[in-house]
Amino acid sequence: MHRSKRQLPVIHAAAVLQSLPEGTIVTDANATVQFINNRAADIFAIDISSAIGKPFREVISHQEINKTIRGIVASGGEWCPPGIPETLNVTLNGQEQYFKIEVSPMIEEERLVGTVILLTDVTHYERADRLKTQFVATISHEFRNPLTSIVMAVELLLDGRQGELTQDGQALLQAIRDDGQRLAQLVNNLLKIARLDEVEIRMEMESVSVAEMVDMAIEPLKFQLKEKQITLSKKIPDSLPEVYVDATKATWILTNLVGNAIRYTPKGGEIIVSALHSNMKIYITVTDTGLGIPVRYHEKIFERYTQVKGNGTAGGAGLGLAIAKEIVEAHGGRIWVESEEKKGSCFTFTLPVNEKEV
Amino acid sequence: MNKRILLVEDEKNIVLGVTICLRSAGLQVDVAEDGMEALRKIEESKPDLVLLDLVMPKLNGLDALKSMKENEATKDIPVIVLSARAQEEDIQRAMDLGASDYMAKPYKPAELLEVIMRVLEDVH
Repeated sequence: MHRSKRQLPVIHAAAVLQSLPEGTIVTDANATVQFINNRAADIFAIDISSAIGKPFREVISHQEINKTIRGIVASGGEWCPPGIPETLNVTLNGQEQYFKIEVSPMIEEERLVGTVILLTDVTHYERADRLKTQFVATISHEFRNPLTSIVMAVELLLDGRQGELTQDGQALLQAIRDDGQRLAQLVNNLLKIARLDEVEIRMEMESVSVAEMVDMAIEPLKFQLKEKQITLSKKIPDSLPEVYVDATKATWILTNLVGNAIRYTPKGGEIIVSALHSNMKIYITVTDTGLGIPVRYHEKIFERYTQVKGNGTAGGAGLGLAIAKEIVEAHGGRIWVESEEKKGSCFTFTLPVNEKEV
Repeated sequence: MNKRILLVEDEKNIVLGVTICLRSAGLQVDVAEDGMEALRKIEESKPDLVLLDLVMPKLNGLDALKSMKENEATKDIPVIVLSARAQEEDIQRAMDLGASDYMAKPYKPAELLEVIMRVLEDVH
């Protein structure tokens, strides 16, 4: 019996595609619709028989999918799309559902013969994500009550009317006040990140000097630096132009990076904050002589709730760097890390230069 | 200035801090731990100002605010809402119901006193 080179007989291909739980659409190399399974027809609410043989863009008007198909066709299948970031939101049988969209080139004997559009149901993940967002919002509300009594108590003790304090007592209260403020800010940021998908970060832009920002950022960390006997040096050229940023948010990034550096650097270590100007951007770098970060975490640490396992130190919520990334990107910048285990880490982010100044 | 403030708050540690803060500024402080108790005390003693938490047992802050503003005898007493719910829609609801001002937790003693003094001055 003659055996085809194909793994499956052609006659079965349609049955296979029809039985997939994913919505599936196949086009030819000219983006003409060749096949739609029932699931895809339900998702897009289209009539299969009238869609077959028509250009894809006439059947489904989704911009991103059409753009991706065009890209694949134009490159003869050489271009592999990075994926479509937005999920498709549709109401099926009265229920809201979400689908991840993937478009792939279909190659046979090294030639583009068409494209495959796959729609995977991700409703479950979307719901879980929303629950997580609500959870974060609830938790940060709950933090505000204990924070209020801490802030009130510390301020009232520090103003001296409840009795004289020793120098150490004053320093200890100051530490509670500083960390209380940090917590309050973290709670605000948690709320902010919980609502990021719904609301854009509101930016209050102004022109500020990087040196001033660095001073403000390390002010609340002085006690911790002293306690761990860590030397912090600044390498910021006098000629550096000012940055055009939301100063509170940008300063927060620095406080967070230096705070992390202190946490992961052993006693007696060194931290350097440096800045340089290139191509209308200011590159700000925080370098430490700490534990370092394994390569496999270099990208992941900027995702929410990521903690580096096995570094043996008390971790945070895994939110600081994710928030930092959101803020940097809201300024049109980039943040990344270079690090070698046991040698230290070097975090760099970019901020825009105040154009009027240059 | 001997003004009488009613603090409506169910968190004991916050009550402690706010009470000390207000007394040190020469204000008299009375406390209610839920919305029902608050309405009773407002009606009975007609304080000069009410500091009102929103999330409370029995009757919540927004409902208590609505009731007192609907009551002829208490509707002119100024209210400052102090709440952990800092979202804009909550602020808007409280202001629509007749609150004079709104402070999001956590707040510092100096900030709280500043707002209280401003609201008391506006009334007189």
